[in-house]
Amino acid sequence: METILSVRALRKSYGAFEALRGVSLDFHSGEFVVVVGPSGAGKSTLIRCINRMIDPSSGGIEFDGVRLERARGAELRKRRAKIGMIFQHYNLIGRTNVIKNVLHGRLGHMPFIKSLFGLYSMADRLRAVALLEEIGLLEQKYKRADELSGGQMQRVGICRALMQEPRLLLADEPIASLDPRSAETVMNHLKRMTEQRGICCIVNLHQVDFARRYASRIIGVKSGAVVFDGKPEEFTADMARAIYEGGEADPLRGAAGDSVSDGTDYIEAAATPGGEYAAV
Amino acid sequence: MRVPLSPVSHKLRVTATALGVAAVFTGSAFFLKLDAVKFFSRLQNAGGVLRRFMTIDLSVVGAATAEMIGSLAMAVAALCIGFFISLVLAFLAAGNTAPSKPLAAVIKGSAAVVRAVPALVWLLMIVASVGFGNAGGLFGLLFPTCGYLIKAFITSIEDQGTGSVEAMRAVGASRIEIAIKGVLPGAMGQILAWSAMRVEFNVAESVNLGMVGVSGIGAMLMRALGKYQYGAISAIALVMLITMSALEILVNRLRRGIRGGK
Ligand SMILES: Nc1ncnc2c1ncn2[C@@H]1O[C@H](COP(=O)(O)OP(=O)(O)O)[C@@H](O)[C@H]1O
Ligand SMILES: [Mg+2]
Repeated sequence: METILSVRALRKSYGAFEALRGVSLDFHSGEFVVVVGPSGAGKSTLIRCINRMIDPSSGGIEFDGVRLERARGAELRKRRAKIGMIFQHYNLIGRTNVIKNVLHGRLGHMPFIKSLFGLYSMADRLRAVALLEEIGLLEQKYKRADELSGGQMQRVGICRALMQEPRLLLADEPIASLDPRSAETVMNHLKRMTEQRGICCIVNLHQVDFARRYASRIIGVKSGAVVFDGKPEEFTADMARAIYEGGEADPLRGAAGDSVSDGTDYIEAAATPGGEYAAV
Repeated sequence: MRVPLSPVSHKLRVTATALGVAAVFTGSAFFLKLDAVKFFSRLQNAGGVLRRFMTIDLSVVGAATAEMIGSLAMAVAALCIGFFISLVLAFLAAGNTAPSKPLAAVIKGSAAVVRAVPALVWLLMIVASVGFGNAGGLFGLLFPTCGYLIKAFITSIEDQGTGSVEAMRAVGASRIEIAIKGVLPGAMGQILAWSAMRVEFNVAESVNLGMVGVSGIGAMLMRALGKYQYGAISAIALVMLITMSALEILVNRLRRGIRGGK
């Protein structure tokens, strides 16, 4: 497996508070990595430092052989164009129709004048249509994005990210605002589509049962440090309990998992808004 | 048992406020030496003056309409230029799109200063420095236009939130692409509604502009006033009234159309 992303001694502090305290990880193509940890552990901070939505305080990020922590301006935009991102609140442009939202994934790849007038190439348009068909939203392609359901919006979000032809896909709590059934649909599409394309996918989740079912690798984060990194089958109930211990939610729910597969065990269901949205 | 609907302290506060307002009004009236007796005795003359105003001099209607169109043109031109200046500055200053916080603070601060100074003062200052004439008038109108629109546009842009901006940043879009593709689709309706509203203010200011000496219907009105041509004054006022009413109806239609199109 080819290493496409290396994070070295990554730190992020807010004043005296350290949100990330020296994280070092390697990611490989084809991996489906799920990052778990209690609210405020630093999951969002980690994922957002990778494509520099947040500037790390120190440390190195090497993506595709390029040092991202030093990139600026047009150079940074060029790198970001190769990293897809999916958000908890989908972040679609509500007034704009579905196919245009998907094509926004090309903005970082085309000259300014063309993007200004929406002159997407025919090849791009065909690819957008193919992606929408694959994810089951072809019928909705001219609907306004704000007319869709949450699950549909997130599927459009996946298409927009894949439209970038990324080598890396970051997803920050992609199913936290969805009902269990939509959550499952979204996770299935995400897993299948990134696997087929050999993309490395890093997903923040707070549902440990989802993590076990979908991940090819689980990373446990607690208080800004990596405390677990291994295969899903090595991620025992004891391990989960240890990670969520001292967190704001009950460590036994979901992690110990008597009803593991129903998808309703939101470990952080009662997460404090301050911790969860601070970085958003 | 009695159950007061609000706490006693609250009632006391309301009473104190009412007394305070009454005291301030009485003080102001004394300060201005308002003399009700003299005022009402003078009112008796009003009848005669009003009668003279009733004879409308239709011969000036044509000229007044031409001047009114000139004033309208200046108002619209100032709005168009001000629209683009304000849009750019608002994107540079809105919390979710600003590239730099100090720059945003400077823009917001300047717009606040421009708004704090009355429009007529701006007109006089600009006209005094660049001279009378249409260019001076246009330039003078730009200040109040931008002061108003920048603040309004910033609100509309900030209403779009950070999510769409974040998504566009993540795909590698540039600032202009973020503004045009990510923020404008949601903000455009409101931005147009604010601009339509500003048309009315601009026409009113543009008429004032004539009164301080720049061309337009305001200048014509001042001349007629100076010569006590009551018939002409009435005709000019009538043209203004009809234009402003028509404009208001048009703007309301436009704003309803924009809202309906959302
Ligand atoms: N902009 C910020 N200013 C101060 N503290 C922040 C900011 N963003 C995040 N934090 C803090 O950093 C910690 C990690 O946050 P985050 O990465 O969002 O956690 P998670 O995604 O795991 O819930 C939290 O304690 C949060 O309060
Ligand atoms: Mg988070």
